[in-house]
Amino acid sequence: MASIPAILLKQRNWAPYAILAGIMVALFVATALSSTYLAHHLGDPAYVTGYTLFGFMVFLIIFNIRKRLSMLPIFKVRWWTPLHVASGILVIALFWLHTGTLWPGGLYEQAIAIIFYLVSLSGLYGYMVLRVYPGWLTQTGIEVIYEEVPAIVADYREEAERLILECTKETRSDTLARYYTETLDWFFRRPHFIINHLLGGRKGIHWVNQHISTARRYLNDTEREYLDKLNDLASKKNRIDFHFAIQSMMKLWLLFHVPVSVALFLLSLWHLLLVNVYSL
Amino acid sequence: MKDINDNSHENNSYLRPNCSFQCGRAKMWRKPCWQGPDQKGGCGGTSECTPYRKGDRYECRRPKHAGGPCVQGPLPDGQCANTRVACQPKPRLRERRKQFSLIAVVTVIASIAALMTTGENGKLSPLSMDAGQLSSVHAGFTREEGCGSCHTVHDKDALSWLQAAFTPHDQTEGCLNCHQFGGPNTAPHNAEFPDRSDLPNPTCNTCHTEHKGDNFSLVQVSDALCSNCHQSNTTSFVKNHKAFPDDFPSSEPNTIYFNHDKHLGEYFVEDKWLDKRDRAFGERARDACVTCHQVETASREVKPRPYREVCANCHDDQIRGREFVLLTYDSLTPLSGLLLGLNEDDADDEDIGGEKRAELMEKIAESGFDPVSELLDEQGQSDFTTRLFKGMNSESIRNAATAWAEGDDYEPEGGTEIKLRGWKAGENANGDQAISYLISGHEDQVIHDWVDYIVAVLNSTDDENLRDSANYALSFLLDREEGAGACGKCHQAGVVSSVIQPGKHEIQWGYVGQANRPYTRYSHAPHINLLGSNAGCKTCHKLNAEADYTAYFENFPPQADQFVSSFSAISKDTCTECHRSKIARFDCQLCHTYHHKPGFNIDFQEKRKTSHE
Amino acid sequence: MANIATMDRPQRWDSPFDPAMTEQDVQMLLERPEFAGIDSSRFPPSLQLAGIIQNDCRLVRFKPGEIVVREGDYGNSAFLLISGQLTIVIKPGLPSRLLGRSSIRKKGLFGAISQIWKNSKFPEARDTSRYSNLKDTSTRTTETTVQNTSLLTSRYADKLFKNTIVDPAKAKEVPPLRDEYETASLRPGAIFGEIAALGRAQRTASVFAHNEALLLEIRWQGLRDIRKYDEGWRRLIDERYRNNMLKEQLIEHPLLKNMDEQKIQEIADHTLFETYGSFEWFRTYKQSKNQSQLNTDAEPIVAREGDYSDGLLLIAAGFARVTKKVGHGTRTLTYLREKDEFGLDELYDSWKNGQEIALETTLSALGYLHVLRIPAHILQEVIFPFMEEPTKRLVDAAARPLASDSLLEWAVSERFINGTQTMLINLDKCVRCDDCVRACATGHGGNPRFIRHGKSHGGYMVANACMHCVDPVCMIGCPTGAIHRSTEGGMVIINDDSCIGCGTCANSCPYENIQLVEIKDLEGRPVLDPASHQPIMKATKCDLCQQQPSGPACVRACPHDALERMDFRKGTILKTHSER
Repeated sequence: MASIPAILLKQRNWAPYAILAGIMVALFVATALSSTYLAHHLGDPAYVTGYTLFGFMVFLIIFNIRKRLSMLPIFKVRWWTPLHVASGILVIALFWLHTGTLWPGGLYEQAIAIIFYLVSLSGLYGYMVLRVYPGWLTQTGIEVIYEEVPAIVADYREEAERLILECTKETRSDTLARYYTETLDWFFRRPHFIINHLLGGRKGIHWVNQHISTARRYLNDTEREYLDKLNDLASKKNRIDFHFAIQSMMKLWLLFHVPVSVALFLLSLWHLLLVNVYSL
Repeated sequence: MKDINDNSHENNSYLRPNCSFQCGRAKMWRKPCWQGPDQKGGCGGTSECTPYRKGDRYECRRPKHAGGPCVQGPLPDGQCANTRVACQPKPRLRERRKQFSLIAVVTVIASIAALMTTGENGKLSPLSMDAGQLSSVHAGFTREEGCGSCHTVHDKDALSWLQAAFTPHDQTEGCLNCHQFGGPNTAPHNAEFPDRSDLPNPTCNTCHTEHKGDNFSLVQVSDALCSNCHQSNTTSFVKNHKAFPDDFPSSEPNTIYFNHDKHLGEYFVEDKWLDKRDRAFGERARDACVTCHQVETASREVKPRPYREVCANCHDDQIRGREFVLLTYDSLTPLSGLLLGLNEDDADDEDIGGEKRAELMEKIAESGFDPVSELLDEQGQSDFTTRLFKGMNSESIRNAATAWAEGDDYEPEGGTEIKLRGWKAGENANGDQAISYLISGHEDQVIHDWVDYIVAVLNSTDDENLRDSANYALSFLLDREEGAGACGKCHQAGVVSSVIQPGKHEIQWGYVGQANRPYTRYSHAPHINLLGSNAGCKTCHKLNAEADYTAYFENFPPQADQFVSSFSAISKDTCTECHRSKIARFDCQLCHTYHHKPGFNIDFQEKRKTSHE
Repeated sequence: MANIATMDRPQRWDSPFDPAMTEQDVQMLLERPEFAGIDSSRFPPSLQLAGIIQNDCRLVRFKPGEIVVREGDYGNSAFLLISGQLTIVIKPGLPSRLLGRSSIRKKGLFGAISQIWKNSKFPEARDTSRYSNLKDTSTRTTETTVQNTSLLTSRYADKLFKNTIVDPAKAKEVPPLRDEYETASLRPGAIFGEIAALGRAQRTASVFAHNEALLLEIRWQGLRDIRKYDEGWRRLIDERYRNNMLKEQLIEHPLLKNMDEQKIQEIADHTLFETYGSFEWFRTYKQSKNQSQLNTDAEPIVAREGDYSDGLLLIAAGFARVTKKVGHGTRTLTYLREKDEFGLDELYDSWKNGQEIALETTLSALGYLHVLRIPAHILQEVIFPFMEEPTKRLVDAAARPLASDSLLEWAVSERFINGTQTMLINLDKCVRCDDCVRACATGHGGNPRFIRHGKSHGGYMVANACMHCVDPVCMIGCPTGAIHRSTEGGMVIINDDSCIGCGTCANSCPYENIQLVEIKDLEGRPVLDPASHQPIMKATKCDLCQQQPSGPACVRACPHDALERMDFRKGTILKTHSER
């Protein structure tokens, strides 16, 4: 049984996570204890908490670099990710241990704090997004590559327009064409209902159903066949929209998290330098 | 329309998420061209292909995965039939991320740089490092000089910065520009503990943290800091602080013999005494400790009020008008014996003492007071000549000596003058012919001077004879019953001489409190404010009827180990009744201090003046 | 016109097996009896025998003790012994460490990291000058050159030989091996290695030179063509193929592991050899897939549920599906491949209980299938009395819930069972970050070698990445041998240098995992064939990051544990009968 690849296991194995959490708690306790020890031996606890904190921040930021070095046998990235998340949470605790407060004094420290909180919150949000959204995507039953979305949307639009032209030609009636230009044309232009998709709503499909059923009463049987095809296309496009919305969010949060992390790292580095220049 | 599930290799090509740009058409939700943007972010192609001339006609060269050769085919001139306007490719999200990160880097560095003022000579002065507001006590003096007041590297060039970053330093030196202590600055407790060479030398920063806001107390530190060195088991005053000594706080003998028990139990209570003395005062003193104790200036101690305000009410009569005799016409007193350098036996001896006395009297009869000063000169105590005999009429004693030599009684001119104080010759209170002194009252200067003289002799001579003589003279003066001044009734002069510096004699007249424990503090004031001045005192100070307070004072010279306070010892429990959690502070610093004699080494008045100029 | 580079379109024999082959060599070989008997007129004008010998063969010389082929290697060529004597080690195999297992030259640490900035910023950029250089030099190898290992100088010599060797360098012939080694001799005129070359299988035994030996190495394209056009060679190869394959497989089969030579021979004498389906199964498979839903009827039935079995079926090569009727449909219980057997349970029970028992399951061929049929009477006489009663039965698999079948049904119908390194993506974990694709590109000169898209089922997706199949049908038909199995590990690899971009492999691959790309030169200009002005194409696919220090970069790069390269046999449901 041991040879079953982990990927085939639907049940998540929690043991490594528990061990990881244990290690992180132990690290925190060790840091807290050594800072207490220093406090009891005329040392500066901020020294040990500060360097530990900085060390972990370095570890967190080299996650990005490690991801680029996929060719090197330095633990699989899959190990780094839980470590990154766990360290990220640990770092919040270390930050509080280091500053001794939720909101430090001093303009510069406050700047670091606000950036720190932004990084932490965006990280937690991102982790949540990455844990919840993939399942939603799977449930759509289709798989779309993000970069392909514009081409697919354009494809669908072309197909829809082709259908409308064909319908007009065949039935010599422009009802469907008129209806299309008035309503569905907007829908096929680009992905829509992004926010609603992100929240898991069904606004998109509801919109499609409503508009298709509204049109139905003005059409004869031949036109209705085209309408059914349009309906099919619109539903498919709605799923593409959903993929687009979800996949966008899974990438966009990093657009915030990464630059702010870089800023935080630089600010911390400067802080470290100043502390060394001024008081250590 | 392409099926999104079609994965045939003919209709697909590798997707390249590692490319930085995406077709501008796609960004506008139109069909991206198959070529995609070029590497620099330019449009990859305005036509579907570059037709190739084969023989006399052109062939379409659109690759298979892009749809293969087009239906229309190339134009006759070799141009592609499917041309389009060049797009403006857009960076992909990852590229954007890179750009944003770069912006973040530039912004941070620029902000830091912008907030660094570079003064003359490339000096660095980072404003961006507001480390937090200074405490109010330090905010003032740094106002002009700024960070440089403490941080020497501030306003230095970049190289100094770099050096400073890798060299350890602290602000102690800067602190000592203003602060000073009664001992080595960084030694623990500003004191040397020869037995504890292992003790570290903390810096100011070890305990004091700045930049924590103007209300932050620099001096208040956590108990944990104390336990850095005091690694006892004491974690809390309430729980496991050791018990106070069983003679706390009056471990050292009093210098004034005042029996609280007797006074409060008998003298201020019984009519016998009240009638005899000052009843009004007695009743007041009985009811309120503050009658005798100076509550207005209460601090570590609540000192007794001066003699004049308190003791004098009852005891002044017992002192005023007392007489001490220098010599009679036929005998020496211990005082005159000391002047002549005779010990007790010799002075009383008829032959030795008598001869010496006769000799002296003869000289006095001849030349008045001068022979006495000669005696003092011989002992090297000529300083005392005028002080010991202040107010003595030289003529008067010459006459007296002459009269006594002739066997007569001496009658001062103008009849027997009743003198209330000062020197006189002639008949004294006992009816003897004598040279004597009437004490004017408490703190009589002549008596003081005589005691000083005796002490001076004791301290200056090794002659056993003389020392005996001096001791004899001292007890003659001070003895609580018989002594001329009866000073010893209250002033335990000997305590000082024997206890504080054995072998060295010094008279400690005034009230001396308990020895200062250098690293503890206590203030009566808040306690009295809280508990009230009368009943309040008794919360802690309880009379102990069992205590044998008098024993110590009854021996001369007194033995320190015999001293027992007439009050019960104050135990820790008394303190912890209030000093416990949620009622009152009980941290180390409440009672203990770290620094020894903290102070300033600059004259703030001077500084104020110069800064105003 | 200025913006393109040109080069001659590569041809079949652009990269000869050995450019050092001379006219004299070819003449000498043609005069040997093995070739002299061939009617060269049957060969087409473009593919003359002399041309084959010139381009698809090479002469190799081995010193005494040097290893010619290693057991377990994947080889693309057969050998004809011209002179000297060879020794074939039948059993036990030579120590595996002695066999060298030379590793593919991995990039060093710096080499690996430098890819980040060294990779061309142009897609599919190639240094085209390299291709023309290759034609003239003789240093060309498709794999890392392997220094021939000699038994005489090896560290294991003491354990191999009866007596110690005094001076290995001067030895004229190899002293006898220790008694435990069973060996046979090959004399001039012997042909060997043709099974591995044509059957896309591993070498079954190691061969070393007994004395100074000259061999003609024929790469499999050449062998294939000679076999195709010459009756004599075909008969020879088929005969030997049948005999050797049969015996090897019987010897290696788990069921017959402990049989002695005599019994094996007895079994072999009576065993029937059968093939089902077509050798190029992927062509019909692809067609049927395009036409409609796959139905099991298209798979030839080998043995039917309810029939009585007349013999035990051993799978020699290919895949077979085991099904059982459930309701109105058929249910796939498992699939069988090499070294699996079918019908054992029923035959054993029949023998034990003395009454005939019908087959409980149906066996059908998935594409190409080689089966060995051991008749029932042989089983009863030679095998059953000496074997333990089987504890697990093939039909046991029917006990599992119907719901758990879907992944297996999917994997079988999509033929993912063929893959050993199938890229499986767990879509419930995959965050679509494309880190795998980027990592892949980094390791391959800036070009991805797979498409993160493909067939999906139940939250899993098999991406379009080479699966490194057990039966690599893509290798069939490559005119230059550019696509080959690596000596070590058996990965299927395309040698970019000798690929002529014909697209045969890409069209053969049933999984669409080979992509043809238009190459560019280092300046990013498209490279065109000057004659037709069509772009020069190269076939590309996943090479399992063989040059990277870390193994498959896609797996390493996945941040969410969503991607795995796996053999479907490793999943419990999919475990074949003999592995359970």
